[in-house]
Amino acid sequence: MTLLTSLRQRCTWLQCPPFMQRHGTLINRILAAALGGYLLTNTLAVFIAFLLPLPRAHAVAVMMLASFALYAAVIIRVFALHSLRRVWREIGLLSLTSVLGSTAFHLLGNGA
Amino acid sequence: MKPATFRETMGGLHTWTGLIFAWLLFFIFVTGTLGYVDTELDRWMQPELATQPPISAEEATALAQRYLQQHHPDAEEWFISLPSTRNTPWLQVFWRYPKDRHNQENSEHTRHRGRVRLDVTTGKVLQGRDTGGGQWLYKLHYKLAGIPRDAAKMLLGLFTMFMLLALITGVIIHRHIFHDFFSFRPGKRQRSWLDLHNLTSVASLPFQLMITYSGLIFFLISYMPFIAVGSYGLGGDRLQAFINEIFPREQIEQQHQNQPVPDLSQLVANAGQQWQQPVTTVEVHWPGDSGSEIHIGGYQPTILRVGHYMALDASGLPLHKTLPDSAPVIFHQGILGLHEGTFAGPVLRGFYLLSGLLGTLMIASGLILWASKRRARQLKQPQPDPGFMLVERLNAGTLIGLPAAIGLYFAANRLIPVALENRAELEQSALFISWGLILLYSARRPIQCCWYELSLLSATIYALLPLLSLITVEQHLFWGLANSDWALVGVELGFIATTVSFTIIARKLRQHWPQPGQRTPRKSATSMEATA
Repeated sequence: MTLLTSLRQRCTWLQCPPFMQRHGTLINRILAAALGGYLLTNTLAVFIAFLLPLPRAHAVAVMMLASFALYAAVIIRVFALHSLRRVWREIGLLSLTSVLGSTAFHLLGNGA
Repeated sequence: MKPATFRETMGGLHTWTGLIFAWLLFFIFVTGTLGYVDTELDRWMQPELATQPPISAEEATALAQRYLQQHHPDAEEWFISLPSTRNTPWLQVFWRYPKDRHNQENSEHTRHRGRVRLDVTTGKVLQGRDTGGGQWLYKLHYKLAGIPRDAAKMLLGLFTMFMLLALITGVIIHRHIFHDFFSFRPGKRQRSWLDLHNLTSVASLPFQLMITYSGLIFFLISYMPFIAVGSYGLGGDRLQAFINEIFPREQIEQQHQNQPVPDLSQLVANAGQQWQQPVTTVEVHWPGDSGSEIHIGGYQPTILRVGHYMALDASGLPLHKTLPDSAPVIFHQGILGLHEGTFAGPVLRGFYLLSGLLGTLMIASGLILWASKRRARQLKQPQPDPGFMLVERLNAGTLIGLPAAIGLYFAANRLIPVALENRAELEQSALFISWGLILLYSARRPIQCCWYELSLLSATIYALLPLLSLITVEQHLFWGLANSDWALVGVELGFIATTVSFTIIARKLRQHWPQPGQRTPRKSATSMEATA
């Protein structure tokens, strides 16, 4: 960490452009909302599709139809939270859980 | 510093998600709203087409079959759309050739696909002037212009998502949603714009939510393809497997054995009798082949876009087939049907038009509010922010400029000679070139002149349209009244109403926002200091 910091101070050309420096947290939050939100929406939707007691095509279709509401809710959550660290932590944890859950379903489904 | 409350954060999100693509959303709303009167605009833009007498489904089918048999016997598919409701006033036939014939030498017969309208009195092709018509305007709202199809689709998804966010955050930050519904305080500048923004949004909120969400659902699978990954696996073919499962569509195979197409009008008559309601579409796959299938539809104007349906084999005997009807598919169909509103009768269509206009006003008033909130502070600075200036200029050039440019598209329809090559493209470029010029003009002109002059320009253009009809074509307003061609009359009256609206706007602007060089009473000079 210290190495990285000193490296950053030494080499000015490695530093972010001033625009990024000034609006760093905002850009971070927008990225979290747009990309992190899209990731979470998709992983969560895949997971819930497995949970729904419907034929698989219908479950997927239902989750696709609902996905935009989910995405919007995630984006609003990203902007409502104060701490950016918490934002990324929530996105990471929830996505990871969804991916693990989906994988479990997938393996179970193949075994059965 | 005290951290911002939830409502304040949402306020910021509302402002910026609303602002960024607002001009494009305005464009989409204007053209999409005009789409609710697309058939009427089509009528107005091809005035020379003879009005069609009512005809029975059987007779129309016979005419269509004769035409298709004569001109496109080798097509892969015929589609006959019978004249029935407001959406399908003409007898239209479509044809499509198999893919490998695509590259054959280019004659009328080997074209990949095509369509014509038939005159029900003569059975000949109905030929109007070459124009994109109202359909082109309506298609602009989802195809945009001059961009590849897929790129347009993705951009549209982005804009619509911003719109959805702006709507949701707008509801969150709105404290007195019912109280404000009844308050409109005109003549109070910024406060009035806020009231107008609230009024138009709240009054049409269910429509706006519906239209935005359903807009996303149109290209659902393109926007959210990864949701199918979990159950189907990664890759285009896996996604296709999902699509085939949800919308089962079987291939109809050609058998390469000749078998003449049965008398379609007889089949249509039977179907009509069985359903006790008129047949609206006839589809023939592989006409003249023993593997041929005939699908007859009785499409009723309902939300679900489904109706009676019957599949027949090459000799006209029934096959037992039904349309897909799982719950998600019905929901999907229903929400798309709501978006398109093709089921709407005249009164409901009026409400669709009104809701679309309210949405347009919502976007416009939001943009004006953004600028008017910041104007006083910005004008105190020696050099206003470039961002603020951009919004000011784009506002004038789009909110007033786009309607003017669309008016010029209509004017081009009357002014460009009917015999000219590529006149449809010329009409379309009239819209974009004039909009571009208006944007340039509003970038250079002092801002208060801009609004006033552009409003006057719009009012003038729309006032000229009925006059242009009177001069250039036989089918003008009075002709329409005499021959009860209500689509034509409606469009002409719409132009007059637009003229009146823009005249009122221009008057108001002159009263409240004095022009440089105009002698102003002392009172308004001070109010200009405060807000202008």
